[in-house]
Amino acid sequence: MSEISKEVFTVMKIKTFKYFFKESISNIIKNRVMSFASITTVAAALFVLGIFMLLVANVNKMVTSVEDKVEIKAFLNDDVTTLKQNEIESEIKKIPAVKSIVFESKEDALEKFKNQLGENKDLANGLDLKNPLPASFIIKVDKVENVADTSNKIAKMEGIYKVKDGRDILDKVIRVINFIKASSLALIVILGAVGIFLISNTIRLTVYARKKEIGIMKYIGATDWFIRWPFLFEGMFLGLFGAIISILLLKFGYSYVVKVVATDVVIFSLIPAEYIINTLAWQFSIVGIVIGGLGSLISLRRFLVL
Amino acid sequence: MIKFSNVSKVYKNNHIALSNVSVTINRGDFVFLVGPSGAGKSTFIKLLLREIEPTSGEIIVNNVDVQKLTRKQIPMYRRSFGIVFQDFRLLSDKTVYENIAFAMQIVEASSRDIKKRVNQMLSLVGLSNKANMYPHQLSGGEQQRVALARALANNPKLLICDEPTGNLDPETAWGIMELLNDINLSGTTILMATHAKDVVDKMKKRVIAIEKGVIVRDQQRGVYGYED
Ligand SMILES: Nc1ncnc2c1ncn2[C@@H]1O[C@H](COP(=O)(O)OP(=O)(O)O)[C@@H](O)[C@H]1O
Ligand SMILES: [Mg+2]
Repeated sequence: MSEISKEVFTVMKIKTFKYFFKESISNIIKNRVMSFASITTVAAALFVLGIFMLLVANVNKMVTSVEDKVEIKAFLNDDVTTLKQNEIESEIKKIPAVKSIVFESKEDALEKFKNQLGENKDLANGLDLKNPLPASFIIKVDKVENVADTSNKIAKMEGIYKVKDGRDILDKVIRVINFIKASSLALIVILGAVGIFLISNTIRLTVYARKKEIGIMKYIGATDWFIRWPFLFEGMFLGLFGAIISILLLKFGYSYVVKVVATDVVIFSLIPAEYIINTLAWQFSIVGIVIGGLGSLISLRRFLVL
Repeated sequence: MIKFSNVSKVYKNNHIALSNVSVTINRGDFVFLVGPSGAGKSTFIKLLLREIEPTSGEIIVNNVDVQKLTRKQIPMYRRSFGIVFQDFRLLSDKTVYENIAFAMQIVEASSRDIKKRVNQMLSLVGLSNKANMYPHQLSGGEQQRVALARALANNPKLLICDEPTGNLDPETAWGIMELLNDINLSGTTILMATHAKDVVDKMKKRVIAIEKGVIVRDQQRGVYGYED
């Protein structure tokens, strides 16, 4: 029997591979209604997944740019001398998270205030004599997570009268991002499951439609895997076709959105549309094939008794 | 070639389909397995194909203990047989040519071998001119010839036929029998289950008669033997 087992394990021939390919495509065509439903579902699932991925990627990009702008403003007591001021500055610089520090004198602060007033800057005229605005340090931190810690440290320093940072707003933004991430994950799982379910149903129909053929194949001496492969191919193709459709939809849809945003909303630029082709296309094709293969395997385990 | 020793088969519903069957079939034999419907003929064939396993006893084919075959070895084991059924079991969406070629695709034969062998089989069964027709365009006898060609495509040493003439009129059946005789003369062992009395009587081959799962007669150059 050793000869027999050797033959059973021979590598798949190219001709056989072609046969599987042809069989699976012809099954998809014969089974066109269910095939269409499966492809559409996978395409819809991946399309929604794509929208969420683009959303998250863009929000992440936005957060990174916001993070850049995160600064701590430490106001100095009016009685702080230049010497003391230098001392405080070097002390702040010693904090590892601090990226940069800029001094803003009382005069600078007033100038800024006047600029903000714009046409009404006359209102500030009286302030020149007795400037009520404090001098301050504007400090940038490497990471958002370090803002709280750093501002607490600075607040305890001598000569500092008050510390302000944008933590509240950031916390809100981060919470929104986390919510988007969690809900998109849930949606992806649900749609992925629906895709797998529909593909496994499609494959089940094919298995039933080919019951007779499978029986004959067994009598003639087809190996189990020779019988299974065309069904696996079929599932994988369904998944792949769905992925390709979703990628095309995303590409055209997103390119359009990018164009609109670029012309109408100047302050914020989106991730370029090439991202879809360069990154998502491959990821989605693989996800589609995996979904299809899984759906197929589930069906084969349950309905193909060899 | 085939040796059944004390083989019994009891189905799950406690129905005894075969009881203590011992029989030997030699290379080159032409054997009729006869008996009324429900006698156990198909059970005998299914055991041989390892579609089912015996409740007790031993089946040896070509010096291999069929019960000891692993799952992976079964396909290779089955490739040493050709099988023909009463209901032809052709693939309706494939042409005559494709139906025969299918058997060879499954064993991963080369395209060249397939082409050569299928044409050879078509002329053997006399259907060269109907190669591109579909099963539903053929008569019963022609369909059974296609099934026969498919069974022989991979050059099996043993041809198993389960009531191959059961759906055919006597004249057509006889055509098939002549074909089987030729195949046997060229060296292929044939085991044919049937309850067609006239066919068996005319052929004068070895007859193994089963009744209610028991071998009641095993006779060289025998006849059907029932006076009904
Ligand atoms: N899968 C099965 N389960 C239970 N009983 C069966 C099964 N297959 C066959 N039988 C019974 O076993 C007996 C022999 O069947 P079979 O071998 O098909 O007879 P034959 O082919 O001679 O007509 C019959 O009485 C039949 O009803
Ligand atoms: Mg029977």
